Amino acid sequence: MNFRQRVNPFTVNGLLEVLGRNTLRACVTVLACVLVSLIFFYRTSATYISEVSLLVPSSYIALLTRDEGVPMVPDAELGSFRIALVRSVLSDSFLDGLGERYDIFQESLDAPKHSIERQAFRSRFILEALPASTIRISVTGNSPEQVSGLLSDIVKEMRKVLLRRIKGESDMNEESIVSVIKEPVVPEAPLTPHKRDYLLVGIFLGLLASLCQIAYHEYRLSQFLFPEEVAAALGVEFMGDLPEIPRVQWLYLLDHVKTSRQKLIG
Amino acid sequence: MAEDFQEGFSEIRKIVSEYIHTSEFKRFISALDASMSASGQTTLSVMSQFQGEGKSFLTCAIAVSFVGFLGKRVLVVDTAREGDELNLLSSLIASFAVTDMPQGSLDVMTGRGLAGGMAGQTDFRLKSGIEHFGASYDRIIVDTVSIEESEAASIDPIVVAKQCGRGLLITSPLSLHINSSQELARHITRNRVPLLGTVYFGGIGA
Repeated sequence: MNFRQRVNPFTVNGLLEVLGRNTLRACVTVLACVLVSLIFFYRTSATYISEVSLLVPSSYIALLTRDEGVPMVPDAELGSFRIALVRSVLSDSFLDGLGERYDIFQESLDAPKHSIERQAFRSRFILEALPASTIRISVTGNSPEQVSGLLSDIVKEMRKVLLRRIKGESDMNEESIVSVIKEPVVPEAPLTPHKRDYLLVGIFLGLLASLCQIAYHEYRLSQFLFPEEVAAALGVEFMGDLPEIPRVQWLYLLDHVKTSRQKLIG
Repeated sequence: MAEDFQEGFSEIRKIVSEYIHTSEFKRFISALDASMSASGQTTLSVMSQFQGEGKSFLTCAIAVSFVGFLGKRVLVVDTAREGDELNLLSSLIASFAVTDMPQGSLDVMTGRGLAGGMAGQTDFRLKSGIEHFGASYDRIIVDTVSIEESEAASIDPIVVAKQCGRGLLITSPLSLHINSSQELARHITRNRVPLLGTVYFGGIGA
């Protein structure tokens, strides 16, 4: 009979013993977890981000508000006004056109769920007002070409729409209404996922799983969980699994012995 | 007082009878009898690691089953008891001895009685006692102290098992769930205790 030895892992020798007999198991577990995390990494679609910085001069906004009878926009609100201008450019029809061009929508344009898809597409555009009459537009997408192309199209559309609004009442041209300060670039690396993060998570989960596995393994070394295991370890027959005796009956038996003994002594 | 005892015995008989008529117990008795017959053993020592794992109750149930189901003549040897004091096993057996069981079909002796009254030497003299009385019985079931108690008791269950030829090890939730079954198995193997098998006793229920 070869019984497995249980050791105290809180001593140096015990710890070395536990590590020694579990090293292979731990390595395999960590490798398996890393492999699974890498599979997840390669199965996760990459997300790219690109941005463009635009200058919309205050003189254009002043021209626009004067023509429409709106009082002068305070300086503090010019940023919000510029963002509102960009939002007005991102109309449903414009977004539908972009979506079709870059193959973004899964549903057809007349499908009931299309409006949800369009809203999700719209939410991929992040608008920020910056100092010095500048706004930044960021967009996320599935490919580097897609995100840079989307931004270029938006810039073109902005120029066209904003020029149309002032109806040629000014000598401002497309370039002077919207000047590009920072051109949209084709991103080289995706925003997500990062291989390093996935690897770290895989290693961490692998170590955690190894720890649990070792703890369970060491626990099983010292304990039989099923009565059949005792018989198997001793190499003898397991003869039966007998039912429990109800507590009331057991207490009666003990009480009977006790009272009988007292009666006999008495 | 005799009526009080009779009433108590009747209740005990009812409890044990109900238990031995469960299908699990019947199957166990069948397996035990088959193993004893196959190995040519007539004597069996009932062992457990801890006190309170049901040795005495099972010893009585086994003995009563051998008599009742299989028509055997059974001698129960209580090595845990040195004198005339009353304990669970003697109380259980006594409740059946007063019934109309055939004369000599179920008897009980103390280990000291079997060993010729030699106090402190019961475990070493069991074999000769068994040889002396064995011819009159088909089965001899020996109840002894638990392994845990062997240090404090004057009798060693391992020696008893060796003297009897074969032991039946009882495991229960007590021994299985307190991280000690491996120790017990190692102990039994190191001491070369000849075991016939193990049985799991569910213990005391709700």
